[in-house]
Amino acid sequence: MKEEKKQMISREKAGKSGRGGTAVMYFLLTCKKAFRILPRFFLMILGTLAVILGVSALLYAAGGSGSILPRIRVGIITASEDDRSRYGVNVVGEMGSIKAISDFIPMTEEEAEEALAAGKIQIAAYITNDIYEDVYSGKNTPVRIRLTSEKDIIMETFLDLAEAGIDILETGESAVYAIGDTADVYPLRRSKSLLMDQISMKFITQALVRMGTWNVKTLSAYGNITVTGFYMITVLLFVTAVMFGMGFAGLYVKEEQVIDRCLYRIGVGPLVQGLIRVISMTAVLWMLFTLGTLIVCLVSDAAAFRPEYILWLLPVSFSVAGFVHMVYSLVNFGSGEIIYLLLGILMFVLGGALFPLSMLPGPLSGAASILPVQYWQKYLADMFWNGFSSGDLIRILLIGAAAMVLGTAGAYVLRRES
Amino acid sequence: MEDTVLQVDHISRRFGKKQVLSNASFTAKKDTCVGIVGINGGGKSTLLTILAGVQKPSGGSFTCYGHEMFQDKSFFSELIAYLPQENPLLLDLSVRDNLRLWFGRRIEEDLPVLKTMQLTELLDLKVKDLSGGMKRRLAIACAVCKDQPVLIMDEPSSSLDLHQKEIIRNYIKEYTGQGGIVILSTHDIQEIEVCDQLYYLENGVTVPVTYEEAVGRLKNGVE
Repeated sequence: MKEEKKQMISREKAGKSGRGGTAVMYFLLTCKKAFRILPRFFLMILGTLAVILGVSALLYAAGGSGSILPRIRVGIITASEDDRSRYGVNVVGEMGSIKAISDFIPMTEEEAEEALAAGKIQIAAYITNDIYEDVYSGKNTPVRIRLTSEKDIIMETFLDLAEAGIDILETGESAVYAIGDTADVYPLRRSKSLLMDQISMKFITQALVRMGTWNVKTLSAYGNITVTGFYMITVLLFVTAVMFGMGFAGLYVKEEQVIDRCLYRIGVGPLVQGLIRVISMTAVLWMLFTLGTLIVCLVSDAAAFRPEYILWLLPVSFSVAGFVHMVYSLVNFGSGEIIYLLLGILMFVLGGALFPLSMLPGPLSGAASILPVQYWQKYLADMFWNGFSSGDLIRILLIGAAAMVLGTAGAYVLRRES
Repeated sequence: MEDTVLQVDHISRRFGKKQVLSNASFTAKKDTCVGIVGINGGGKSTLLTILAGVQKPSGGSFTCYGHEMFQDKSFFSELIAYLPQENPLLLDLSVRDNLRLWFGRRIEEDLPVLKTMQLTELLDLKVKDLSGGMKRRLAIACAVCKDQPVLIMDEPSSSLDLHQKEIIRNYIKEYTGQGGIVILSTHDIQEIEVCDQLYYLENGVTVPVTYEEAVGRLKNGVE
């Protein structure tokens, strides 16, 4: 009996240290599993990009201009004696960007009236005399435009651009500067089509820079952030949180359920298990966020990478990891991947990541306020452009912690009887 | 009985309105293999998970080596090794990693259980690349990592070939031969042969049976 008691005591000690050892090993091995998803998902993203590029190339080859929507036909009416204005409008009409959505057709005023009535053109633009002079004088002569009653998406786009201020004067001015820039860079021996492509690219940049669309700070919900910056954050969040988040389904497969039960009986309970999973996912996401941020800062001139970002990206990684844990914990083991993808896409559509919250219909914009995406988005926006915000930090940490606890508790209650 | 070191008294378990176990009771001495037999869905796994500490009973007591097991959860990991029906293995990782997980430390390649379970040559293979029998032997090795005196096995050799079943049966005999207690659930006639005591789980109640009675009931599917 004395010998048995000695054995009991040594087993008790072994049990306690063994429990801690198993918890540590479970943490290390979970991290190992979590990092192993990276190669698979890098390949998946590359494959997705390849498919997108391949399909785009096929459509371009099939459609010629790459446009899958029919171009609108614009009748251009200029005075017969105004050769310079007509020439300028023709140059603009040949730009690749313009040709992608419209065909400029020179015609007289009578021809335009008939063509509009017959539906042969959708828009008739009446170019004023000597509009060419406006380039030098700086005067912005408005252009009269007549439309058919039926408007499709291309026409809506055309009209939106016109209303936003891309009028022919700015377009022409931009084209002039673009031609000048291109002529400085490219020798004239290049083929006409290549030169026109280069002019188109320059034209777009010039027109949009001059109009300032991409630099307009339109998204006041996130403070000081441009359209470019907004979508930069969206891409970063979507790729990391949704696409790589799907990979973590491997930590919640059916086999893990058996392991969870065995860990539970030796004292590694649901909360510790949940914490281990969240920490391992946080580590992977932190690495991905840092890498993604570095890439977007290099590719886009919207922001410059700063070393302190590495630390500031840790809280948002934890917040996303907590959310991932919550979703996978509350669904049946084995079906998490597809549910997470659907939920992720829905969350990004409704959560203010694709377009500003103010554009959502009333009931939906209310739903957005309970989704975490906008808080992640704001945290990153402030990090890049407005300075680190402790308020944002507390919010996303609370989201991560609450999601982790909710997921762990929910899983424990749901599976207690199984 | 003076030699009794394990006593299960009136274990019951209810899931909502369904009474899965109503009175599961038995005792065991050292060097004993206890077999719990019965039809599928009869509550065998439920009883074993209760005895392993995975879930709590609705009533009853379980005493092992003088410890009231349901009073302190830590006794389960110290005294009870548990092999569930499904293998608790990380499929994407190696045999070595899985052993590390349950042992809680790096393992030595000359561990006796590795030799017994014929795992020494498989240490660097991924678990998902192993056969069913290899996975089961690995799961057993992981279960007995703390050298516990009691081993609970839920259908240890289900779906395995004769050779694998032989290895596992030999291991059970070795385990009990070294003074351990094995409690296993089965509906496999060959596994019944290694059991020293047999109980048939009928309507949530453990009924002591002989080998012949157990075989007869299993063959007839008597409820």
